[in-house]
Amino acid sequence: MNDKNQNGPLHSVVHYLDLFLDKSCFVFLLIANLCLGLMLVGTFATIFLRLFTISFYWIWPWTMQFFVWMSFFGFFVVYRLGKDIVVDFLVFKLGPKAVLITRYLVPILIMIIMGFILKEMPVILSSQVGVIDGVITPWGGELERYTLSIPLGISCLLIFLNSFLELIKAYLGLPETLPSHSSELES
Amino acid sequence: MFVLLFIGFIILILIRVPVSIAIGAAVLMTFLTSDFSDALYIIPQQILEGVNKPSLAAVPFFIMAGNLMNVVGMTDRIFNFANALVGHLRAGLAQVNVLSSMIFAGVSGAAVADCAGLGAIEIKAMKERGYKPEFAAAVTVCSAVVGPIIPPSIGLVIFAFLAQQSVERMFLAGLIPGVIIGASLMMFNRILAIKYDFPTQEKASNREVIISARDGILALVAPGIILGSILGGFVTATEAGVLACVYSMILGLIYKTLTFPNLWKALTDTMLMTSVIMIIIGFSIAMGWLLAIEQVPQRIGDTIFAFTESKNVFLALLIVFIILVGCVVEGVPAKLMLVPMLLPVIDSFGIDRVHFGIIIQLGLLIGIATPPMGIGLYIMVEVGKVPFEKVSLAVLPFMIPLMLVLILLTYIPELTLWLPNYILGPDTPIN
Repeated sequence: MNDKNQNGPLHSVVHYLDLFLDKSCFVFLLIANLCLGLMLVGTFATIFLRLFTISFYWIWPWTMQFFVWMSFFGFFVVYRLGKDIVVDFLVFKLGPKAVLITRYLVPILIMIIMGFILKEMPVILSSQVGVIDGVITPWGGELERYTLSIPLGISCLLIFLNSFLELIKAYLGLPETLPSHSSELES
Repeated sequence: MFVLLFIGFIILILIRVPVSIAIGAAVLMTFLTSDFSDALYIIPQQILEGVNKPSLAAVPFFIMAGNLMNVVGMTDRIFNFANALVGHLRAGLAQVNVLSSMIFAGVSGAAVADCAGLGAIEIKAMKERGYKPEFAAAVTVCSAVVGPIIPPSIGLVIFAFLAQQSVERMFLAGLIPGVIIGASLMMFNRILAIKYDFPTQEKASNREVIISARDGILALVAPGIILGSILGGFVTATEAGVLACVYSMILGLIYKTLTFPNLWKALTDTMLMTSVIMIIIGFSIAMGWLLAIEQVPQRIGDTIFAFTESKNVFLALLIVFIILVGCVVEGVPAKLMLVPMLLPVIDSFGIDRVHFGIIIQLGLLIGIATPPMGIGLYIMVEVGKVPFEKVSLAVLPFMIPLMLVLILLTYIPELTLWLPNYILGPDTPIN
């Protein structure tokens, strides 16, 4: 059976993986935006309450916790939505062969980098012992330090899957998800 | 090692590898060829350390302030006010373009909000008035350079973090250079207008100026609130960013333009841009760690001193180098690579770090308007619907005033340092 066939098993994999990654992307987008919103609310509350000489020492540590979480949850969303900065005009000028080669090369490279981070994750998690000062929880106590890096690990795993999906799509000749150039860094 | 890192990074970027992955791959390659090939866990560990920096928490808020100003329609009001004020001058709308960017820069910390938000309004208006689309796009992208120089600025926050300077000092240092850049672009517009006989428009009546000022007054006072609150010691830089966001939202409520979809869009755009920046910072911190361990900055310093001991020659080489890097590497990763390496040399030559901060900021910013990494050009292709090649050519003349200002700022440090030293006193690095 030809696995490039529209009803072949690879097409099913693409369909279900696409669906799974879309839903994950939506959830991560919600979480990352929520983290950003909570950073905003927390910091504004600090400014506002200062007028009444009221302060809560846990607001700032939580703000930083949300900042780290937002960055790491957003990491996957950036890749899924193609929002990282990509210079592609040169490859497009070189012609379809160059485009095709980079369609394979780029996801493989991303998978190597993500795979490497995932491989080192157990070492990172085991080195993050103790609690984060001030990040108190409603159920008492403070959050464990390893909670900072868990979103990074999950995002790396999802980016790995996303790149794997891009590879299969390239193999099947399905259209490429082109990056958006509408995002910029600090410039 | 640095050569391997840098060349590897450039090659990866040119073959469509996303910037953050390119820098990650370059870092991994460098680690593998160093004495630390068996301690690769340091990379993700440093990524985590790099992201978890309180001094960078201001970054998302200054991005968000610009995004909010765009979605609540304040950019239209800024544009209308600038139009009433300088629209009648030679190259009227080109001057409006520059002045609008300068006003908008006082709220936004990133050029993207200027290019994508204000730029869309400016290019549309200029096209309708008979300006060539590529010229309109070129003015827009070059005037956006002023955004990250005039405070608040994300680039200056990141530089302050890297060079252990106070954000307040960096913000003040950007004020006069920002005005000089704006003024030089306006003068250049005038020269072009005379040469090419650009369209003119009637002078707005006093009444029209007053009405547009009244409509835009709440947006026009925003920069004063932000900078005043930081310099007055009422808030930190991060809190000032939050104030700017809350203020923009209040304006949206007053003008009845703040809707949930608008707010969601601003949140999403901010989150995405911040995530990219923070991941790049994370990888760069890992790279910085390795460079420091391998004493690369000291070796670079020794090499430069072997070549020249003249401060002026060094400054000339520095700006050429920064501009070349800015052409191929985006501002944030370029700064993260260059600043830690160059700081020891900068200190050795007795160059003020704040002064260096403005030089590197402007030098790299020029890169947003130059191919191949000129991200401002890509935005213009999307927003202005102008071919990449045409905008790339149209921006070339504008390099003249930008380069002249860069040279001026490099060789007259007082233009940068006078204001922060006058207001905050002599510089004392923070730890």
